[in-house]
Amino acid sequence: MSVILQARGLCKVYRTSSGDVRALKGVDLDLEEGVFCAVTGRSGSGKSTLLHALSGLDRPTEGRVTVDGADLYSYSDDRMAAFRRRTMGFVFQQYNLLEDYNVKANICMPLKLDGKKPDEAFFEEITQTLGIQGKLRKYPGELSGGEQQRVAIARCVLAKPKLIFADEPTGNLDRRTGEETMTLLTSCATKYGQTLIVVTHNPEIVKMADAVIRIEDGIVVQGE
Amino acid sequence: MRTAFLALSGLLHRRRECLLVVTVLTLSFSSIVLSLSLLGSMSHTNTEYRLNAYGQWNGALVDGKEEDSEWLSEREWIGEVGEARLFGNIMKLSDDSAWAQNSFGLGSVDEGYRRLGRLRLSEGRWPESSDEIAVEERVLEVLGCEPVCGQVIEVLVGSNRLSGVPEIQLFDRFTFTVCGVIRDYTGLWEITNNAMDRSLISAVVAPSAWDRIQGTLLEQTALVVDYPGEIRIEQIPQYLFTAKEGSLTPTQKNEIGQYLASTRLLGVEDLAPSYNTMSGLEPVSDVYVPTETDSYRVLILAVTLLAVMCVYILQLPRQVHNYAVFRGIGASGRQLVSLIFWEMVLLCVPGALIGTGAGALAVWAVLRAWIYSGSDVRIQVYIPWRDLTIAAFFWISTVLAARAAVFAAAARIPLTGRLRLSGARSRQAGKWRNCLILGLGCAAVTTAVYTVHKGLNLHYGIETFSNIEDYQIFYNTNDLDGAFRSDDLELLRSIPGVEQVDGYNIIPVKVSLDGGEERSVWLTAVEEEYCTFLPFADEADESAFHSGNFVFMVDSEQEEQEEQEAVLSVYETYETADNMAGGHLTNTLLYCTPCAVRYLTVNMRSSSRGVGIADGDLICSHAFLERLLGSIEPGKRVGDFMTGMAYGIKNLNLEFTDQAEDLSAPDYVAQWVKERNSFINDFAMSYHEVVRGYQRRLIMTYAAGGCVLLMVWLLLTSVLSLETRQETRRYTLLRILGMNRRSLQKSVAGAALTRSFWSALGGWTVFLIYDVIWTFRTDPEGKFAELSEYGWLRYVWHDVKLTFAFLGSARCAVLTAGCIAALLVTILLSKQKLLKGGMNNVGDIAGEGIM
Repeated sequence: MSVILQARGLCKVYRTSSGDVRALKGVDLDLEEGVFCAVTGRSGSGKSTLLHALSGLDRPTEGRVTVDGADLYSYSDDRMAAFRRRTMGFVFQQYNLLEDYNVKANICMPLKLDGKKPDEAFFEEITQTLGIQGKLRKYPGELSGGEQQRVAIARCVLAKPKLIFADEPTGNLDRRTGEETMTLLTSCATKYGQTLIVVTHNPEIVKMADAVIRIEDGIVVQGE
Repeated sequence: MRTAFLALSGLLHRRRECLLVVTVLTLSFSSIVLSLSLLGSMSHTNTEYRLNAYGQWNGALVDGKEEDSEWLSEREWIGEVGEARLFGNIMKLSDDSAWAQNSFGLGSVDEGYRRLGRLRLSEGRWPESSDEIAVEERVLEVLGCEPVCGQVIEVLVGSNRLSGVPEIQLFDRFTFTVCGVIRDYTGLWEITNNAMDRSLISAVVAPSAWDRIQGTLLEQTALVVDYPGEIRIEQIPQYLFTAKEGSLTPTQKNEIGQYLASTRLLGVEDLAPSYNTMSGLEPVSDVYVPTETDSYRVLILAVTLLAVMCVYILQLPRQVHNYAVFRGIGASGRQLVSLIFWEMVLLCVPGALIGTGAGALAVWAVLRAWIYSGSDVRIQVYIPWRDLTIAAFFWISTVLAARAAVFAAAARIPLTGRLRLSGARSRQAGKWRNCLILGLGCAAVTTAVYTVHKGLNLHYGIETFSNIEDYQIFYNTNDLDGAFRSDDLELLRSIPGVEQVDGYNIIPVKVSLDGGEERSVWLTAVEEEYCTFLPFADEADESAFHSGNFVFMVDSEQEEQEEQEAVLSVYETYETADNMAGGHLTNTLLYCTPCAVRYLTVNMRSSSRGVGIADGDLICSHAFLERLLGSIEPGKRVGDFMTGMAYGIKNLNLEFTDQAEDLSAPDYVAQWVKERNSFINDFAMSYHEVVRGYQRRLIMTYAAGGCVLLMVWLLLTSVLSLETRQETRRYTLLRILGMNRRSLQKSVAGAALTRSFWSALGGWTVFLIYDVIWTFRTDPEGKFAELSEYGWLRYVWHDVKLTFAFLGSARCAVLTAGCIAALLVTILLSKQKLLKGGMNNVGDIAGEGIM
């Protein structure tokens, strides 16, 4: 399998009032297409920072990230945005749904922004798989945490991105809902051949992953 | 367009917030429309008022011929033509001056004539059958009839337009049923430059009435006239017409003159057509806009900016989150700008449209309820679109600036984490929110106090300047025998635009109170209607004054005292020949009489239309002066009077309505005065403009004050409701931890009262600081010059005392209490949810970000 995501010498420094904090200290990474990769480590170890740097959400202080051979941070802001909505999908711990739009609008938003119409059959399939077909007219505020996360997964999957980044997607959910959510996410990713990168503390999720990156104090200490 | 739909669906979900924004924008825009179109609308409505009185025709051929119609239709520069047919004149055989001066035409009028002449019925309808008639009110009055429909009247109709029989007047009696009462209009055309040499149609009948009138007159003619040829009675056509360009040019008038000269056999003067000098005046659209009005616009724009800013700041947490999520899922900057643009369009367009409508409605309401109250004129709302477009541009820029500021704040949020403001920022925002609530409270109180203070100031200004007469007219002083007759006064009173005519006389006298020293004063005789300011005890007392039993002495300094006995001396004042000095004045005592004097302690200038009366002068009734002059031997000159001649009015005070100028009443009055070789003092131009200026400023003050107050209140309730949402969690936790409901309510109410109190105090302080600075800048009493002597503190204290004295302690107390009460109610209503003291909503605000 070919490498879809490559990071070289990633460093991230946060400037605070008490001095600089080095969240990433020269991370190198190669990720193959279609794998499920778990990023784990203790709180404050730099997992989320790594995910944000890999996904283009937060520019690293140093280093390079390439997706399919293209340097992510060489893009302009608009091009990066377009690249993100076509190639990447995100699932956040806080769901990050648009509160002013209903479930259906939220799911279809990345496609709408790209000027495309969703594939109705695929839309039906996803919402059915995620069990939210009856909630399409509801607004995020009217849904439970688990339901909101499923909407976020549907939004992420519908555009058929090559890469899915999930930042502690089950962190706000109870165990059973969390397991269900992860099962749905992994099954979707497997079904559509997507590369899944999940930041998590959950050992159960780590067990499910094809590859595990353990990070400590901004350095990758274990990569399988 | 995709982003337009996205924006629309987003806005639809945020209905409440959007409604607030649209309301703020609507209020702001309607205020701008109000400030821009008020003056223009007044001008256009005045024009409508004038045209209603004088008609909208530009020219008239009153002594018309049948071929005139064709000539008029061939002229390209002539617009509409209206035609009337004069069948004859209504006559009266008794010797009545009204009939000697006027003859009232009877005939039919077409639709065009009615429209161009603005002929309107005050009652009933236009005649349809040959026995129906619609008559002017004044004609009915002369005929001794009430101005009501349904009555049967008998009129004497005469005609002298006979072919073949010169100088013969035919007449007969005709019976008609009055079906309509026409608002007086012919008199207006006769008393101005629009005078016509033919009778205008004062009584309108149906065209079919002609057969009846003609037949009867001819029948009667056959009985009384022995004439061998054919006798034919002719209708006289009368034409009213308009110029396409709005007024007739000199060339066009010349063409009309040439046409008349070639078709009539009369002298040049008789050939002059009638022109309506009142119709060609264009409304003043580019009216002078005083700087103060501009200040109001700037104020409104500034408040709009603040209000929109506040509304968006209230939405900041949500906006920040939304923009960040949009960016996170791949929306480009351009797409976000487009989204914001469409959101703005979707909010601004309804705001502008509703605002324009509401502003126009407000202009209409202000003019209807205030400036033209009691008048039946159709209010013309004039919207200056060019100015409005410029204002709208600034308005949209203001809104855009507010939106851009919020967008800039949102764009700085990192796309990682919770996509909300951090805890420290949230706490900081909480402090800002407290300041905002207090600031809004202060702003509300300052606005309320300022509006009341300014409004009161302007009301006093209007009252003062309204009490000054518009014109003083003095009878020709060289004509000592003459005076204004009662019908002169009646005629002046009948002029449209003349509100009140007061006749008075004034002579120099000397007065000695209780045997004291003689003082030279003026004795002014006033009319009964003019005496409303005099302090009569009862009707009998008033009657005694009018009968001449006592006089008033003006003395604003004097405490009220009992009636005193005085001796009034009348002197003849004349100039003697003096070779050295070229003449000097001398007095000769003519007559002495005892009279009762009462003190009048009011300030004449502020309480009545003054007639030059100052402290020490005497006010009496006409009966008193007439008797006084009658007691003196004839042939002596006393003031403007020659004793022994008939008593009459020598001086007049004229009060005009607001529309007088548009009706050209001053022009007519000036002409009237000139014809009588009399003199006129014009105060109208200056004082009337001052009053209208005060009125405009008053409207602007109330409109701007009301608008700002409403916007502040809307913002305050929004911020408070947001605060309530934030406080719910805290108070619920306190309740769970053991706080009872009463304590909670006391805590909330106490905080509300404290806030209201501080807001009131802050509001008053801001107002007083403004007032002190304003007074200091304008320095009306020269206090600036005295600063070195008094010091700053004393100066400020002096000004504050003056301001409180002007407002009055009772008004200040009511105003302050009202402001505190209004703020308290607003705060408590917003915190209703808290006051209920429920304990099941801890989780309601979980995840709420800031503010």
